[in-house]
Amino acid sequence: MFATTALTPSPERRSAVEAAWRSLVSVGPTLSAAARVSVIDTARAAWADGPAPAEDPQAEAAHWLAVDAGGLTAAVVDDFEARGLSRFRYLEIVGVVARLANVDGYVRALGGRIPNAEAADDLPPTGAVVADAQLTDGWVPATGPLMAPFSLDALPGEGEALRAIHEPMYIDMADIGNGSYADALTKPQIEYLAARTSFLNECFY
Amino acid sequence: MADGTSPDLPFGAELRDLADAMTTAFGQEPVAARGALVAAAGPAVAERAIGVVATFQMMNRLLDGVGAPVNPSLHGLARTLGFEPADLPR
Repeated sequence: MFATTALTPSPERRSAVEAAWRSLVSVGPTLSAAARVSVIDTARAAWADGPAPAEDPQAEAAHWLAVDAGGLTAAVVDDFEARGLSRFRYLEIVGVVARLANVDGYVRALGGRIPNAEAADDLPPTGAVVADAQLTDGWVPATGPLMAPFSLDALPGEGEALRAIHEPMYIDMADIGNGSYADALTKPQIEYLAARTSFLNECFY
Repeated sequence: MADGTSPDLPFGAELRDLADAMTTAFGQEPVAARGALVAAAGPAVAERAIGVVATFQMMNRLLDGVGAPVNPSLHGLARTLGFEPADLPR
């Protein structure tokens, strides 16, 4: 993944990305490792301008989350559910595609090699979900109002995995409101990059 | 800045170009934009910036995918920027 990069990853970001990748190709709460690999392959095909799948809501969700997440609506997710894709499984696909975008985006931009996806185990899905999670202000089961780093917490392991890559790649939660924070970049530079990327992705959260 | 004008920040133009390259051509290595940022600011800044942009590729898909509404604390800013949060198709 990082053997031939043009830029050297920081140790903490390298560790976070490698851990995220191991998690992505391992069994999840509602999907087997093989099913998560299928989601990864579908998302990568979408980024390579592959055609949109049809008649398989799981693949359709992975495709559209990859290339046009901002175009999804409540009606689309309702339709996925009507065709057999549970809200918990949809939420897991959201988390897999989202974290994959981080891993692939970082590795590719450093000049590294995107790893091939191979299932790390053949275990059955863990079933680790918050069974009494409810729809709150979004389309997925949640443990409260949807807050950015906690949006996956109806799947506790996925929520922890999200935060494990979010903080080293962006900023520690304790410093998010600290306008004078600085490392290699200042807080205004960090927030400009976040805002510009979100604008181009048409994400208005 | 939404119109592509570079922000009044150190290395603002190079940071903008990196974010643009990593977002509008997601499947491609941003060789030119990365090289320009390295030349202007050094490899540590470029690596850090790549991490931030990659993370917002994640957060944008996450928040749009779960149907998170515009944070109420930002409604005033949204109107300043010219859109009404309730009018966004959801």
